[in-house]
Amino acid sequence: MASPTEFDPLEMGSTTDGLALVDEFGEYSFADLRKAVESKSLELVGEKDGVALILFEPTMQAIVFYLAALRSGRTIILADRRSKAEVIGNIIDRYGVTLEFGPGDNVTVHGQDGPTPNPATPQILLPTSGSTGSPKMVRLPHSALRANARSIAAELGIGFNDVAPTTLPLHYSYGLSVLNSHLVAGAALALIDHSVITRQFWDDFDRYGCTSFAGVPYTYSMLARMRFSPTDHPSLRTMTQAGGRLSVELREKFHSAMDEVRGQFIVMYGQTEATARMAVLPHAEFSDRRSSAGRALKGGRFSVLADNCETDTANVEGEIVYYGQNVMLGYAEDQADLHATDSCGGRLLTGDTGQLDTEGYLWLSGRKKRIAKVFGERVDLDDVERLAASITEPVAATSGSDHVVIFFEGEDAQLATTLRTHIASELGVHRTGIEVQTLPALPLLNSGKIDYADLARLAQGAAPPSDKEEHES
Amino acid sequence: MATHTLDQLRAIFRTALELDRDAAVDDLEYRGIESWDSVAHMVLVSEIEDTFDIMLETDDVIDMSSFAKTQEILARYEVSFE
Repeated sequence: MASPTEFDPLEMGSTTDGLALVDEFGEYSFADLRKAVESKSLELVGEKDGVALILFEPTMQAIVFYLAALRSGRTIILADRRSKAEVIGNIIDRYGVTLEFGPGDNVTVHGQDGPTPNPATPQILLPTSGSTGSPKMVRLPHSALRANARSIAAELGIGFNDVAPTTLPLHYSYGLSVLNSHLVAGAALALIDHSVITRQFWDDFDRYGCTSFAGVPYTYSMLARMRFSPTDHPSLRTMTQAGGRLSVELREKFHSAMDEVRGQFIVMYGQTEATARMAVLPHAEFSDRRSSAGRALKGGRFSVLADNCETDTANVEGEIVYYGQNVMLGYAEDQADLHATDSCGGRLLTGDTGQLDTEGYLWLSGRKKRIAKVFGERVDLDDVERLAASITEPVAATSGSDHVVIFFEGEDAQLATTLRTHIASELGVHRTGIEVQTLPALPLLNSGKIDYADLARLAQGAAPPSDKEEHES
Repeated sequence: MATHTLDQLRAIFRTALELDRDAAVDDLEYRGIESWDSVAHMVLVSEIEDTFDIMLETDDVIDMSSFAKTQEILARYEVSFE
């Protein structure tokens, strides 16, 4: 039997009959949506137990399926709809997926031989690495989604009249949190399946009267590149940015652009391991803290781990620790892991380094985790190294700003090109997202391990190949 | 009016969209080809601005949805092709 509902994003909206979803086919009120979700969840109860996989597209049908699966207390894996067939097949096998939704409205039932007991705690599983096809997932209890959606809605002041467009993929923690935090506040989602660089997107944005816009750093560099101005879109009130560090120049640019139209530009800091978001830097608090990551969301708090000692004293540099109900249960690599106990207990070692100031604002300085962002998408650098090692060894990968930098030993220019093309194609990203550098020898620590700090310095010295804006200014 | 060759523009499209050196590009449309995504589009915009020494307006960036349309837009920036 499935577990009882722990997170019902429609709870609040049902007290009104406001707009919940709008797309090119029509408008759906919260009453319409609840009806569709109730009837879909009855269908799901009839299906066999086990994990549901959603290849999440921004459609009414996919959202109804997601809400129905939540309602029936299922464990749900959200995955990129563009995933390769073998990646999907691997997820289905490892996690004992019994129901697969998408692409389109297709539901595929997968036969499992033995019984597939549901985990005692219903979970949402989100991928740890965008496109490398790694089956490693972050385990979030439904209650973490509820906690995070509510605190985000409260911090941003999301109200009944707000409309957010789907600017980010819904299987991505930040994109999912836009959906959850809006529905939970009784606000609406505009399902727009066009990129922000298209005329269709902005026509729909204006037509649906969108009030907010969520983007990762790469989204904001695109907007800056196309000389976007909020004055062209009078319904826009709030822009939020999360998913990595945005340069201070762009933070200032969007803060003042939104200020001019008396709107808000809100920087947030988060991780999939904490459902989506941990900190907020409200518009009004920006001026004195232009490069801060913000303060902990309501219900959360930060501390700093320095020399094996945890403290909330200001101005101590160390690894940032976050406490909150939105922290994951742990990671999973297969079905058995879904039954593991909570390995975090509401405490997350973020892997990011920095310090807190006397008012509790967080200032990040670096990252310990082996993760890069490529055009906004999270990529596990160890996965990249494994892919690269099939071409040449020794090889090491590190993070540039919004791209991956791969180092290998030698001077073989042809090999560099091959490596670049291979990695770009395996990750499914544009070639400009991968930079390859040659070195006479990879720098090593005394322990014989690769000196990633040194490689990071080398990587920072080289500007991202696609981002010419930074050279010009 | 600055005059360039259409081959220059074709080469820019091939680089940005990661196509073969002799791929036909004259009939290309956004969404008609998988590699023309938002990242490729921004590379395209950068390359065009650098090569022809112009600054595209927002409306032109989002209207640049095909090879033919791109030529039309560039004409307004006094970039023509022989």
